[in-house]
Order: sequence, then structure tokens, then C-alpha cells
Amino acid sequence: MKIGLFICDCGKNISGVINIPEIMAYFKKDPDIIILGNQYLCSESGLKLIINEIKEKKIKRVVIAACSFNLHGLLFQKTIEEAGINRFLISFANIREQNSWVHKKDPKKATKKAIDQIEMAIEEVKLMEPLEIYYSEINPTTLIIGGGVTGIKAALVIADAGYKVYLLERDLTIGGHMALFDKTFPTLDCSICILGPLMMECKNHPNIELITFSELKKVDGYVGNFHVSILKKPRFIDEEKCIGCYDICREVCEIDIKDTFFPRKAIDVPYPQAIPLYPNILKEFCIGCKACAQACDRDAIIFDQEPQELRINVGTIIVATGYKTFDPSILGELNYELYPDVITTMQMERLLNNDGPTKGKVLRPTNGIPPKNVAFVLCVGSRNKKISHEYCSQVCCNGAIKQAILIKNEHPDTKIIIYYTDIRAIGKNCEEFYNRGREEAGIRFVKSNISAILKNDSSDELLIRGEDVIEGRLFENKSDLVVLAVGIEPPDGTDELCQILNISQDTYGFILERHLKVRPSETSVNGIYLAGVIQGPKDIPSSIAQGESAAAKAISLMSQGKVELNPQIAYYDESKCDLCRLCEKICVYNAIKIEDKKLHFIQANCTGCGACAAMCHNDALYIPGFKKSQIVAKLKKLLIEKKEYPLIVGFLCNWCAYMGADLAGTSKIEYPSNIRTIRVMCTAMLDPSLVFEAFFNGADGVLIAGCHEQDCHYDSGFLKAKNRYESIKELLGEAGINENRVQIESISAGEGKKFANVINEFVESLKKLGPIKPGEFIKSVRN
Amino acid sequence: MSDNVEKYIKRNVNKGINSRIAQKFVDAGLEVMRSCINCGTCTGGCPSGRRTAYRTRSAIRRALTGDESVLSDIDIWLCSTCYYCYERCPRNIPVTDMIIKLRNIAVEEGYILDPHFSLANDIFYVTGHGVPANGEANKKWQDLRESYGLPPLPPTVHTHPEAVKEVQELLKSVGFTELMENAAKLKGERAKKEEKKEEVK
Amino acid sequence: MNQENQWRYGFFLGCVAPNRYPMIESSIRAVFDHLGAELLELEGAACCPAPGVFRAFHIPSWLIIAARNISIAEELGVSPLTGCNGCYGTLRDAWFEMEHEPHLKKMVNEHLAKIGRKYKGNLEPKHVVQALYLDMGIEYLRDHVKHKFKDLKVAVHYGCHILKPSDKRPWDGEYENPTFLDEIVELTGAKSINYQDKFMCCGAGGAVRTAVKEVSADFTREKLANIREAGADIIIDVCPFCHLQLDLGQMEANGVYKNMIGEPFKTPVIYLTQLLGLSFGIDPNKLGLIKNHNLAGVPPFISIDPFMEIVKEQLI
Repeated sequence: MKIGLFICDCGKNISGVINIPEIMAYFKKDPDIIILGNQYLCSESGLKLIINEIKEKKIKRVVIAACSFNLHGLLFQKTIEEAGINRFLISFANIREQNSWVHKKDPKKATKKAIDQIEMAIEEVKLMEPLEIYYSEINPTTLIIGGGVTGIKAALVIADAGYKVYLLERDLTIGGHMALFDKTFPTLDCSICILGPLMMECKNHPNIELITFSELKKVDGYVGNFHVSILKKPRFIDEEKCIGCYDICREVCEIDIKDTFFPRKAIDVPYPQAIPLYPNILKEFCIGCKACAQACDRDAIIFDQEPQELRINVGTIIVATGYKTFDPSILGELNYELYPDVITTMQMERLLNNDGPTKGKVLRPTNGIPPKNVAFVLCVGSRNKKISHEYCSQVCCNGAIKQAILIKNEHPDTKIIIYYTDIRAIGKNCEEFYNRGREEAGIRFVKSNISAILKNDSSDELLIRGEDVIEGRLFENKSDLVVLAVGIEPPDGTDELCQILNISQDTYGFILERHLKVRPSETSVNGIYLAGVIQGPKDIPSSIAQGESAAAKAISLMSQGKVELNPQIAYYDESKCDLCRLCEKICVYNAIKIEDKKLHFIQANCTGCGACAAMCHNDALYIPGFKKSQIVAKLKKLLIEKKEYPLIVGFLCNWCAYMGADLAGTSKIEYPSNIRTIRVMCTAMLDPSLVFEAFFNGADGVLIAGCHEQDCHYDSGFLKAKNRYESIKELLGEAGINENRVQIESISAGEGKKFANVINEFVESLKKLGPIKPGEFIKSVRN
Repeated sequence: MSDNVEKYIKRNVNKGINSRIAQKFVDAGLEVMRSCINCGTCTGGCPSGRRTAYRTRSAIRRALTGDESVLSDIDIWLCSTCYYCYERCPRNIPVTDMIIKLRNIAVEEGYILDPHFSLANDIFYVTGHGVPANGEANKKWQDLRESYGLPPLPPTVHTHPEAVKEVQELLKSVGFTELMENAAKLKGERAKKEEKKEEVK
Repeated sequence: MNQENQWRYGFFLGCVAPNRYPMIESSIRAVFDHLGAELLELEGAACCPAPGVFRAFHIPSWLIIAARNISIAEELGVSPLTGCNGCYGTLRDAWFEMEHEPHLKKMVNEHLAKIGRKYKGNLEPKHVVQALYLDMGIEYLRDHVKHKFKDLKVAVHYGCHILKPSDKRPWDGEYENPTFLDEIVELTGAKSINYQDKFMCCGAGGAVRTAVKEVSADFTREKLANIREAGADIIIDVCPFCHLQLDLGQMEANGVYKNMIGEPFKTPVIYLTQLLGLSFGIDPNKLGLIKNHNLAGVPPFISIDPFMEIVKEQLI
């Protein structure tokens, strides 16, 4: 059987580290292997070359040694299909993300590792079998989670294309943060004047259904066919009857909820432009006098309204849940809660807003007088390692400059200083905007991260302490209003949302895109897209651009009508099954039923996690591409001649740990070359016998790395692996192998650094244990 | 004319770094300071900087560039170790600990103030206390203790001569005495050089 | 287990309290005895050694001498307890660093073996305030209050090393605006007043006092000016070295910065256990509040008579 081995230089990304001629010479020995190197395999000419070579040399199976399968896997699969080979008769050696990008310092070891990786891929491809793709209908409906400007724009694009959209918002009104801003940078156009019409358009669009004041509870199903449960919280208003006049009920309410920035009545609307314009009752403040119910001539008030569960079916989902601002009370030196005249930029927006508590006048919260000296403190909660907020929040510089200019426009006499670490006036026309702030508005900029805000006991002024780092001079400046330009964080509930949707997050909790550059609007799950700040801090123009990009992705999928489903699910061999029912018990998807002394397999329910195959002692169940025989063949080939010590075999789950390892690659984080990874769909598919197979063939260590327990793609897959890990350790002891040679770790797709650390530490600890030898460990026997 | 030379001609263009000192900083683990983004949080909250020429950020910056002046200037000895810079640094640099390490290197290089040297050598090494109360010269402190109902000397090294020996043995064993001797030597040499320079002038 | 057994500590004296401010030592002993806590003597203990001075000269020496001091308490099976922020800084940081970096512990024990000692690290060094607030608890202390001040304005001075580095301290990371000390002070009926830069350093630490006394005195000047402006009757502190700086340093500031400060400062400086003891009804003689000698040039340098007047008026 002729196997085509195609090796990519990737410019110099791979060949700059790995000695490709050496590899080619190595594999030339085998007459069945046809080798071809190319500078860029993924380019048009590269792909053409693959097709020609396959046809010309009658190649039956293909190994691609290049970047991660996650990047161009599908492209190569489709390419060999074009050349007439079933697209599952291919294997990948990830010699870029998991080799040349992380072992730059040791080209020799990197080359040896690449040989191992290719050998393993060759063994794997030999045992591949052709599979039939099957298709599923797509429900031409989209759920958009989050009704801020990003979600609104995405909804309008999809609805205009003729598809049905559910726009889900957990707050009382759509509009998000943007609806609370007074004006936007760098144009200073009125925020609600540009957003309001879009909100209205959403409400009136025949293809859009608003579901507000509601939260996502559960999502089942798969791309094209998601089943969604939503909990609608009670407003205590009959939305059928209420016409949104709201002044009648509000007028009679006697409960004034005092809040400097959001004052309201116990029955009230969030703001006059709210969509939908229904009032709601805040039960924690309402005294139950029912004056509003008597006043309402439409009987629209329902005091005992209950939460309501809604169920909808959709084909695609867009996550656009936005952000929350950083809580500066965590930074004690700023005394945010202690001094009322220390406010955040979000609170300043309320003061600047015509519909806000001061009707657009900037007044000091302590005495209601316009401030003479205003200070803006930048980078509050951003670029801060101490609180694990290393990122730049991107919008605070421009946002603070905008607010300063607005104050200057109203009160040119106000003295304003903006304290900054670095001004990042990112975005079209923003640098000019910054210059305008200095040149025309006369705002002073002082390069200093503020050390402390304190209060002068003898006056009502605040003291700002810091170092002017350009002058190298300390200052203690007086100010009567300090505005903290607070950074951006993922909103509350993001972790739970990601668990419901089974999508990955980055280190900070933002949702992880499939690829930072080329697939920015896709999540790790097919059919679920993301847009706006939930992907990472960005301004309004970028959020909208991404909202529309996610919408386009959803439309392009739905327009196909049907979607290819991965055929790499469980298959079974009836003749081997002894009806022990272990697989039935372990499957959480109800894909396996033993009835009438027969195994019944429900294909549509299977997700391909492989937990059943790992349980089957007769190997009656298997996942194509991840068969035990394939993995054993790979291990044997790898370990027949160990090229490195200590040698670690790593079983990495496809969704988290393997992606984490790839991220270590794209982030160019160096780690020792001692690991050879085997991708598995889920750590639950790992049969313990494979761990023993690795050790008996001479591996010095085995790493099992999957998702964090709560993030597992297959519900409880990692938990299953963890339970097995305990018994593996026990058995190893009995087999005379030190149990510390096997390690289990949770590494998310966002934890590239952690992956590198885990390898570093594991290699060190294995060095201490020395090379594996039988009987090296005698388990202490308790009397 | 010669007045103007003194007055206007400075020639303080930095021409590279002292790589030996720079390497010492790296070896002492001071490279964590590389994450400094020069935001000034450390200096701005420094109570010492409010009254002296000590500038925390500048000390770190000079150390990073291997500038030996950070060791010879008195500035780093004016940090009162209040730890505000350590706590507030947004880059998670343990600033105060870095200053302490810089001081260690300064002592190694013979930059130690006379009162500190004498405190270490003549008082602590001899008595085991940094502030002692033993001996005839300290009689009034013993009387003071007694007036408050305490024995004239505390149950510390002061009443345990063998404990003083233990302390001295440890200080020898860990290289403290050698360090101090060397510091005194380097300091002496440097003073002589300065004297000669003055003479030449 | 009864409480007496529970609260046993090895009393680490340090230098300044026993050798310059014995009234502080007396008052700690009296208050702990009153509360049913046992203080064992750490025979042969040395200087901690001071964190800003000896640690600044040579970190390994500092660590080894600190380990020796802790090992004396370990032999008695008790936590070392200190009433000094400097000693607390040394003992606790040394303990913390050796706990987190085993190679340091190994290095230390190689040297200690030469004098027949061993450092184990199983007992956490504690501050007097930590024992009062965390071990005994505010309610237990409240139960012992007999007399309450009616009108006493106190400027509480925490000092630095009792709070920081906060990752090595037991106060849940709080260092900017803690309240534990104010809570203890207010048990006595006194009012802990707010003053600007309340948590500012006294100026003595970090080898600064030894290096340039005028710099230390300038810290103290700023601190005292803020305290005076806020109208405090007395200062309460929890560290003999801060105490020395606020007392003796107050006098020095009055001299060096005469032209800056107007009226000389004269705010009495009282150690926490002295105040607490009065409220518990302990004899002021035992608390080191009554002078029984004719020695010159000994503390307190700033007269505490105004405070004792208030005590007479309000407590008796």
C-alpha cells in the first residue's frame, strides 16, 4: 500500500528548526512511502502538488507533516478527496505548533521528535478505514445571546437575510452598555441617537423575536439542531396588556430607590428609550401597596407572576454577551468605596447622560457642585499582573479622553488631568481625537500610574499621589472628582454559559475564538459563533464588525440547508459483544441500549467521546481513527527505539489539552521536547490498558491531559478519566512501576503556559525517577 | 573660561553598561524586574521618596541596565521597607525584596555605610543583640528593667554566653564574617583611591 | 483541652522592648497572664535579626539566625510570639520562605547542624496582636473589659510589617484599610480616629534610622503633624521600634524640624497592651505606666502624664 508523506516547510516556520532533508532521507528507506516536501503545502500550488502526486504515484493513504490538524485539517481532507481518496484515510503529524515553534532552542531534538511524530502518523494511517459522511438538516433559525449593540447588529443582518432570530437578553432592555453612554468616541455622536433606531428596528422586525429579562438554562443537540431552554424572569407585568405608558404606574409609586447613579421607583422602566418599554417591579423594594395596580387602567400588573420556562429550537447560536466593568474596590489604595467623589467611568457616563440622575450635569456626588479639578486615572484593573488582568482593556484611554473633552465642552474652566501609563489611542481617527484633547481642549496628560488616592482631612478635596515618570518627580495633586477608568472583564455568568454551550474560554475567562486571526468569530463548537467584547476587549466599531462577521458565518451555514456530521462516532462488532452492559451504563447520551439480548446503537445520539470503547473488555466497540489497535501500533513504533530520555507519552483531549498545546505553540512558549502526543477525542476514551502498553514498551512517563472537570465537552468525560487514573495508579504499584510516572492534568484551550509548565515539571520529576525499569517500585504493604 | 568648563561641560553620555554588575543582578534573581513598565506606582507611593532623592523606579531601572551607581548611591539605604511598592506594583514585582537584594550586592561590592558596618560588626556580632543592654556602659538600661519589675537582663543571649558563641559560629559558617571583612577591604581601597584623586587635583 | 493549654507561646523578646522599653515587655506579660495565656521563655534567643538591616546585608545570615530563634520555640513545642513588627517580619518571612522553598530549609539546617540545632518549620510565628485577635478573639477580650474610657481619642499606628508583605501575613490579604487593631482599641471605650496617611511608616525601619536619623525624623514629623491635626490624645502602637521612633523620634523631630512644626509635638505614645491592661483593670504598675526610678535619658521621652490624667478622670 503506497503512503504519501507530504512535509511542509511552512516558509521557515518549520524548516528553520527541523532538518527536513534529514527526515526525507530517513523515510526514503521504505519503498512504500512516497515523500514530497514543499515550502507551503497549504498554498494553491502545494495542494495541486498533493493531488497530482496522489494520482500519478497511485497513493492510497496520506500523511501530512505540517501545522496542527486544527488549523488546516479539513483543507487537506478535502484535497485528498478531490484526488479520489476517502477523506478519512489521512493522518497528521503536528510538527509546527507542537514541535518547531516550541523547541527552537534544540533543532536536533526537534528533528528527532518530528521523525517520531511522522512514524506514529504512518502507523496510524495504515489502520485507517474509509468512512461515509452523513448529513443533518439545519434548522434555519439563530439564537443570539446578548442584546447589546453587537447582538442587535448581528440580529438585523441575519433577519434581513430572511432567517428567524431569537434575541435573548437577560436585562430588562436590549441596548447593553452602549445605551447607557452619553456620546461615543471619536466622533462624539450621541450614543442613543444611533443605537435607539437599531433597537426599534429589532423590535419591529418580522424575523426577530425579542426574549428579554430571560436567561439561558440549557442547550442540547448539535450544529443545525440545538434545543434551548430559557427561563423568563417575572417583570410582574402582563406584557400582552401593558402598552408601555409607564408614567401612570410610576407616578403613584411612593418608593424612591435612592442611588447616585441609578435612582428609580419600585415600579419603573430602566430608561425612557428602553426596548421593550415595559416597567418592572423590584420586589426587594416594593411594599405591596398595590397603588400601581389600581392606577393601571389596563390591569397589566400581576403581583404573583411566576418565572416561565421557554423552549426553542435553533440551528445556530451567536454569543454576544459583552462585558462588565472592573470593580475598583479590589484595589484598596484607590479608596473607591470610602470616598464618594471617587467614581468610575461608567458612573461618569450616567452624570454626562441627559437621561441620567443629574440631567447631564457633572456634579460631585458629595455636595452636588460642579468640580473644578477633575482627575482621570487610567489602567484601573488593566495591565495588572497582581490581579491576573494582564491584558489592556483597549477602550479606557479613548473613553476617558472622550469624557474629559465632554466636560471641557460644557465647562471650559474645569482643570482636567489624565494620569496614564501609556496612551493607547487605538482605532480609526482616535490618535487625532487624543491630540484634539490636548491641543484644543487643553487637557493635561501626566504619565503616572496613581499610587494612592487619599483625603485631605482639613478640606473636602482628594489627594492624588504618584510619580510623574517623565520628570522623575513625586506629586500630591488636589482634585475634587476622581474618575477611575475601569477595565473590562467577562460578565458574570460567563463560566456557566460556557459550560452550558460547551465552549472554551481563555485565561481571563473571555470566550476563546477558534483562531485569533483567521477564525475570529467561531467558537470551539460547530454552529456556535461569538462576537463583540466577550471575545476580548474592543470598541464599538470592532464589536459591530465582528457581530456582522458572526452573522455572516451563521448565514453561510444555514444557507447550505444541511450540515456534514462527523462520522467518527462509535461503531461496534456484534460478534464480539458479550452483553456485559458496561457500555450502556457509562454512556450519558443514551446512544447504547441492550435489549432483547442485542446491542442497539442510536447513531444520532452518539457524540464520539469513546467512553464506551474504553470500557469494552472485548474491543467490540471502537471509534474509527482512535482504535486501540491503532494506538498500540503507534506506541510500539515510537518506543522500539527511544530517541529521547525521559520519554513521555501524552494523551491529550481534542478540545482542551491538545488546543492548549497548540496555543503554547502559537505563543512560542518553549518546553522540553520529551513529549510525544496522541490526540484523543476525550480522555474518557483512554483505555487503561494503553497506559500499561506505553510503560511495558518503555515509556518513562504518561501524561493524561483533558479539560477542567466542569468544562468537559462530553459532560463527565474527564471525571471518568480521573476515576480510571486512580485505579491505574494502584495497578502500576502492583506491577512494580512507580505510580508517579503517570500524571493527570486539566489544561484548557487557553492555558498554553500551563501546558508548558506541566511538561517542564513532569520532565524534571521523571529525571529524578530515572529511566523506567521493571520492578523499580515495590508497593509498601500494610499489615 | 575655566569656570565655564566646570559649569556647562558635563559629558554624562551613557556609554554602555557594566556587564559584571549586570550579570550579578541577573544571578541574584533580579531579572523579574524586567516586567517593569515604568508606571511609577512604586515611587509615587513611597514615603521616603517624598523627602529624599530615593526614587524606587529609578533604582530598578538602573539595576536593569547594570548601572553601578545604584549600588554606590545612598538612595537604596533610604527605603524604610514599608512594602507599599511591593503591594501595589501592578506588574507583581516584589519591589521591596528587590531593593533588599540590591543592598546585599552593594555590601558585597563594599558599599556599606559606617553606622551599618559598626552595627553589624561591633554590636550584633559581639553581643547577639542589635540593641544590647549588657555591660557596665549599659547599666542604666538594666536599672530601668529592674524598676519595672523585670530582672536586670532578659533571658536572651544576654544571660547565655554560650548562645552568643552559637550565633558567632553560625555567622562564620554562613560567610557573614568573611563578607564583612571583604566589604571593609573594598571600602578601604576605594577610600584610598578617592584620596589620591583629591591629591592629584 | 482547656484554654490555658491552648494559648501557650514562646515569648520572643527581640531587642528594643527588653533593652530600651521594658514597660512594653512588662505590659505584654501582665496582659497575657491576665487572659490565661502562658508565655514560655526562649532562653538564649538573639536579635531576630532585624529585617531591614541584617537581611539587607546578607540574606542567608538573616535566614539562619532567624531559624535558630524559631528552633528554640520549636524545642518547647510552641509558636514563637513577638510584640514587635520587625521581629514579626523577620520570623514570619523567614518561616514563610523556608516553607515555600525547601532548598532554603535544607541550607539552613546544614549550618544549624554545626551547633546541634534543627529547624522544623511546623510552628507559625505570631504577633501579640495576632494572638489577641485571631487566637483569642474579640469577644473573649471584650469579656475581660472592666473599665471603659469615656472620651479618649486614639491615633492607631499599625506599623508596616504587621500588615505587609500581605501574602505572608494572616489578614486575608488586607493591607490598605485593615481594622483589627482599631477594633481592639475601641473595646476600651476609646475612639480610634481617622487621620491622613494613617498607615504610613514611622520612618525607623529598613536601616534608615541607623543610616540617617534626620530622614527617619522627617517621616515621624509628617506622621505626627497628621495625628495632631486630627486631634488625637494619644498614639497606640504595637511595635517597640515604632514606639521608639514615635517617642524618641518625636523629640528628635521637635529639634531638627523646629521651624517647620510650630508648637513642639507632645502626643503620648502608649503600647497596645498598656491601654488594654488598664481597661482590664490590671495595676498600672504592672503595665509599666508608673515611673519608679530617677534615671536620666530613659524613656518615655514624651511625657505620658496627660494620658495618666485622662486615666484618672475617666477610669477611676
